[in-house]
Amino acid sequence: MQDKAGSLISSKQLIFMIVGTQVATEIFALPRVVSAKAGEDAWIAVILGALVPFISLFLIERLGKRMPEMGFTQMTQALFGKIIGSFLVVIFVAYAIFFESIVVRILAEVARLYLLPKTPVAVIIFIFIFITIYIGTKGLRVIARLNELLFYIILLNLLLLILIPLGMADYTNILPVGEVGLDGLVRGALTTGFQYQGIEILLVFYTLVTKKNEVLKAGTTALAITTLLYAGVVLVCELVLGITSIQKLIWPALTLLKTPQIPVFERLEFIFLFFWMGMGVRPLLNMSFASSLSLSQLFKIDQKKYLPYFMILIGLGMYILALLPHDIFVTYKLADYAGYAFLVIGLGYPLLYHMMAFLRGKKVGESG
Amino acid sequence: MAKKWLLVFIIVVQLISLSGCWDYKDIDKLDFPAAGAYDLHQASKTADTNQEEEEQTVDLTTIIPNISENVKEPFRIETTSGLTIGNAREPKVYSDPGTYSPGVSGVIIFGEDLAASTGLKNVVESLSRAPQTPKTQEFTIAEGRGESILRVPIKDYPSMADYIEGLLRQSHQRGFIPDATLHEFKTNIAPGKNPIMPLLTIKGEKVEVAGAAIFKKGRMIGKANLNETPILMMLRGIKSTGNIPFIIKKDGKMFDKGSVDIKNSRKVKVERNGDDFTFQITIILEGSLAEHQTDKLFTKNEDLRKMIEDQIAADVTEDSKKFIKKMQEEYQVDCIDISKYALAKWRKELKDKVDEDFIGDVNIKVEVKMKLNNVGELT
Repeated sequence: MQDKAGSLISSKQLIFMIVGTQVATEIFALPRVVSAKAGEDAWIAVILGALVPFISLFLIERLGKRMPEMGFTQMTQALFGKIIGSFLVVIFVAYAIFFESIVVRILAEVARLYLLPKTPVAVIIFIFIFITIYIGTKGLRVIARLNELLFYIILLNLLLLILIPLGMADYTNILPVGEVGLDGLVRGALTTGFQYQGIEILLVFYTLVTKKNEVLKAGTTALAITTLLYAGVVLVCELVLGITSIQKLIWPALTLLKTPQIPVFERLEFIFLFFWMGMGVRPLLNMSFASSLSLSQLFKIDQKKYLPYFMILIGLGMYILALLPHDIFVTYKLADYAGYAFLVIGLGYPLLYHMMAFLRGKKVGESG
Repeated sequence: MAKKWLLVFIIVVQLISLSGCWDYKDIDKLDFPAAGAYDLHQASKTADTNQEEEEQTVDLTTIIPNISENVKEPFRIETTSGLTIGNAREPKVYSDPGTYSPGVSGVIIFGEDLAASTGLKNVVESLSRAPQTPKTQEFTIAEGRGESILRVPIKDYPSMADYIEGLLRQSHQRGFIPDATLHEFKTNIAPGKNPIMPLLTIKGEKVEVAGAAIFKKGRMIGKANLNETPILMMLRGIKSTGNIPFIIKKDGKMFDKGSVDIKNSRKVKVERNGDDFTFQITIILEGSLAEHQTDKLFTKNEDLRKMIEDQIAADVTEDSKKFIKKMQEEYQVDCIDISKYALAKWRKELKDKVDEDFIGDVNIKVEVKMKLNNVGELT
């Protein structure tokens, strides 16, 4: 097992890392995006949408079982040969940079709109990426532990987001159930499916998990947590704000925190964002580490020594890409493309790998 | 060693940039309005101006507390004008050295003219759009101009802003006074819903609640007086607490009179037969006897408790029917928030027509259930 940057992670840590990569800034806009397609049944669409990452998880886990000792890069090169394999790895890295550049841009836009209106977005993005690179250089074990620590804070934060405004809920806002029809539900579920980006890091992390027989269970648990959090936020937004209001808000989940009247804690959104700004780097961290690891394996160089340089390189790519969109609307347009790209990487890659493994049969093991 | 320097560099970069290179503000130079009043500009109201609605200007009046200890006056009141509310903030830079921060204003008073003519939907756009504005700002309507309310001298409170905020914040918990926030206003202009707001008036030298303003979406279309407002709130299902009186007559003569402290809730059922919709509203009242004026003892008059309950139920039922008739014939708008129950069953079918004469054509039945939980310490 040469694919490890000095350490392994437990299946429990894998749960936190998957949740950490999935639950990012998408959750702020999720109620608007899903309800535009599924109307009052948006919360059901969110639950159905979890099928997409679950299929992805299942395919990746089976793939890992076929070649448990191979890292993502080795596996790709073993299946597709050096040239095509390297190309596929580079595409994965490019996707990770693209996806994370959108995450960091949205995070920076939220910070600018609510907290630092005059600070240039380039500075805010720089700080987020700088922190990401710094933590990334500390290695996988530190990243995994940080994910674990931040998981509990994010859980508390999101539970507050879900529970506090519940007193203002109007249950008629989500009725009648199922009126949007199968067509609307499927379209809503597909849209939500894109929001579960992050499960694809398992392509890289599978081989780094100590107990591989627990990967499916850990992945399912992580997906269940993400689904519950997503569905909870969407449901409460619907109950409190209603579909008409949600459609007029860029980030309904943040507006939700501006509605309750709580003595002393009058501006809940600032408290929430105070914590979220720290937690927002998790997806960047996990994805950029996965990309750096893949690149260092691709170039077959000393991971411990050169991984930080790859982190810097990937961080630079993210920084440049994150600055390209003119505004938040262009960023969300690009986020749609990132959603399609997730289907390619999260579903297309494992399917393609399975097909190739099936076609090549025993030869794969030999070349690996 | 290199890692240590990297860590130091990160901390320095963060300290320099996030602690306020760009967003640094001196708190002494900020103007925090405690309350704002939005009115139609005086000139826009005169008939001879021939102004189109979109050309009408608005007045923005604000109470701004003076933070500095060296200033004698605790606050100042300023009025500026502009094409829109956001635009009306602009002239402040010509007369006020402070930086205006509209996000902290706890109360917004809308002048009756503005609310009834252009409506408030577009006026509050600037409040909804600004990320620094909380959605908990209290909204209220002034009989006449909102500016006049803010300029009423007040002795017992630091400013009129404090007085009105105290009067309206969670007011339904103190009495039958509706409280409306920016959030409630925005969510109540959705299909099938309409907002209501507390109505303020100047009585003598005092500002008082005069009832409730009734809206059709963003535009004010009517007023409920202080007698109608409790019934409006009970029918609307706004959980409140308050005192209501009763007079029990027997054979044309007064048998007992008194008052009850009650809290209310409601249940709504809707059924349809083709295009005929029937709403069944059940108002549930619970409370305790505050007083009664005869010497009859509850221990010796077992029927007395039931007589009080029946009398209150009958009074509220009668008043509710009167209000519903007025709503269906005069307002022609669902101000009691029941259309949402029809939408909850037949949303796709009713979504586009629920705000067009729907409420005028439906059958609304009211049942009042009153329960006297206790009669106090006396028998």
